[in-house]
Order: sequence, then structure tokens, then C-alpha cells
Amino acid sequence: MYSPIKKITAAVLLSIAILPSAFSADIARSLRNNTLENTDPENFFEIGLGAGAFVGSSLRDDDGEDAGLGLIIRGSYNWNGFFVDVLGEISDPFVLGYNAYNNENWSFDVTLSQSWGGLNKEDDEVRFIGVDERESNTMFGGRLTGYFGKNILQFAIKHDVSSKSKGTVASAVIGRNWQIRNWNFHGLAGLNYRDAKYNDYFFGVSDSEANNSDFSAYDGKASVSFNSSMGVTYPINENWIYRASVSLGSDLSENDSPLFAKNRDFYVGIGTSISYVF
Amino acid sequence: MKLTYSVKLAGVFVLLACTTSSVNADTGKQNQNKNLVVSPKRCVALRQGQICYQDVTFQWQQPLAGNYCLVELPTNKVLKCWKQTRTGVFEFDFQYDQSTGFALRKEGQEQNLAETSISVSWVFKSSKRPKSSWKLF
Repeated sequence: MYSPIKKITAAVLLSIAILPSAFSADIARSLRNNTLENTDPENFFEIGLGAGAFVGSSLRDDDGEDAGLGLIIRGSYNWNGFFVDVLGEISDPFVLGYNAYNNENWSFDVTLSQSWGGLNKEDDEVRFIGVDERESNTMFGGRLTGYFGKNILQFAIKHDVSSKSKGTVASAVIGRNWQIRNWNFHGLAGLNYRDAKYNDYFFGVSDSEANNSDFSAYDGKASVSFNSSMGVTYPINENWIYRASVSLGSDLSENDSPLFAKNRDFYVGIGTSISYVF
Repeated sequence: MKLTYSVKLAGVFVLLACTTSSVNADTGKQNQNKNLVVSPKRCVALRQGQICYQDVTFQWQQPLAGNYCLVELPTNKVLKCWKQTRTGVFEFDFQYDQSTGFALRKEGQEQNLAETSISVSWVFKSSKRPKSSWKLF
């Protein structure tokens, strides 16, 4: 049965997921905005409409394919080194941070972030009866960003301090941007490591869950995934911007969990959006 | 009483004269600006400090035929010159990181016969961080 609410919710997540979602805010935004060297991040709030399509692993869809329209809301506020990023092009939807150090080429941020929630059951969903919901983790960590001309390098590590997964996630990303007329292109690629505790919390199936559901017991394992993105951003005028991007990556081990309805080793996503920047 | 009235009347004339003078000056300026127009007049970049690209068209006209040049301000760089004509059209690939003025001049002279400008704006501001700083440790 077609559920508009489910479709819209999926599309909202999709429109974010298709962006370079595995990477931290600074590098993705810096690349998109074609930022030169190590500049202060700007304060902004934007709202827009996005459309996208995604093929990959899925917890719910048997075909692992989705497409739709969604609302895009993003914002960033920076004050005296402190910053808040909301629904940025990031792995976490909410990041509170502090820029502790920077010089000509390097910048170091301390971050406290809220991870994506993982499995959130819907009211009429029978597939996950007997399986506990997975709540978002509060991750504390740091990220080191290097600016070398039009190349940006970022290393990040963060650990769950909410005692839910007690897991650790680390990433290394390199990106580059270039400008052709007023079109700002970017490309980035990186590796993302999630330890066994983190993956086990989100994708593991405990013995008690296995007894109460159709899923077999499963222990999450440490995983390394590859993520990449290419995209373009165009300023329509002082307030409106157009974006488009293609994302490619791997899900080689973290989706071995029986919770996945569709298991694919790789994913691809495309998306486009138009946003108003306040 | 009569003196006061006269002073007031004189004041009105002075005010009228100033207003008229101002209107004439404004009209002159407007006419001067109409003699050199550029379209479009705005260029929008994604980020402050970026080069903004815009294909623009300059159009100018003068009462008398002559040798005229279009120059960039304030560098006085000559973009194009015309010989023995009173009108001209010039298509230009604007590539600047800030708002820039342009003027029409008689060839070899420095007096601006007409002026116009193209404004550069952006979506995201950008400011350079200090070269080196520790804030926490």
C-alpha cells in the first residue's frame, strides 16, 4: 500500500543520503562552496527542495531502490570558534563543535554530534516485531582538516559517549574543488571505519531478539567502507543555489546483518536540489 | 513684517534654484548614464572572493561621431576603441572578483563621457582565519 508519509520521509533521508554523507561538514561544504584555503565558516540557514534516487542496501525495501522528493533544511552558526551544524552534508545530523586550533593549512575541531538513529520502527511494521529500536548515539571526537590549495584533507575520529554502542568511528577523506565559470565542481573520496561495537549496536541481532523475531542472531563486525561523491553547485542569485551530485560507495561488510532486506556490496545515488539561503 | 515676507520669498527662490540645479545635475547624470549601458548589471558568485563570470553587452551612444574608447575603472585599462562613430556595441566576458566600473572616453582623453558599473555579489561570505592560533590548549 502506498504511504505518502513513508515516501516523503524516505525521500528526505534520501536527499541527504545522496550527498557526501559519510564525511564531516567542513570538508563537504568547503568543497561545495569552493572555499579557498582555511577560511572562517559562514553562518547560514537554507531551506530547499530536493529530488534523488538511490540504489544500495536497505533495511526495508526488498529491491534496495528508492526515489522521491524531499525537503532540505541545513544551517550552520559559528561564534568565537564554537559552531553548530544542523543537517549538513555530514554523517551526523547535528554537530556541536569548537575550532581549537588552526594555522595557514590546518584546522582542528573538537566535536560532539548526534548520529543517525538507525532502525526506527514504524507503527504498522511487522517485519521488525521483536527487534529493539536503535537510538542515535552521541559521538565525541575530533577532526583535523588540511587545506592545500584546492585540495582538502580530513581525518576524523569519534566515540559514542552515550553508552549505547560504545563504538568508535573514524574516517579519512580527500577532496578537491574547481570552478568552471560560475559552476563550482567538487569531488571527494574517503574511507570510513566503524568498529565492531558500533556496527553490532545498529546491525547486530541479539539472542533474545532472535528468539522473538524471524531474524537469526548476528554479531556486528568492524567494517571499512569506501565513499565518494562528485557534484556541482551553481549560484542562481544571492539567495538561491542549485546543487547536483552523484555518490558511489561500498557496503562490503556492515550490511551482512540479517536485518537488511536487500544486501548490495555497492551503492550509488544521484540527487539534485534547489535551496534558498538566508 | 514685510522684511520677513521678503526673506521668506527669497528663501523659496533659493530653494527652487537649488532644486532646479540639482534636478538638472541629476538629469545630466542620468543622460550620461543612458549614454553607456551594460546588460546584465549584476554577477553572482557562490562565495565572496571568487572570480565571477558573466557575459555582458555594453551599448553606448554620443551626439557626435568621433573616436571613443571603453575603459575599465579605476585602472583605465582600455577594453575597446571605436573610430569615427557615435554608437557602439561591445560584448565582453566579465571576469572580476569585485564590483567594477566602466567609462566611455574620447580616445586619448581622461574625462569620462559616460559611466556604468557591474556589481559582484555572492551567496556565502568568506573571511580569512588568523594565520595561527590555539584556542583550547
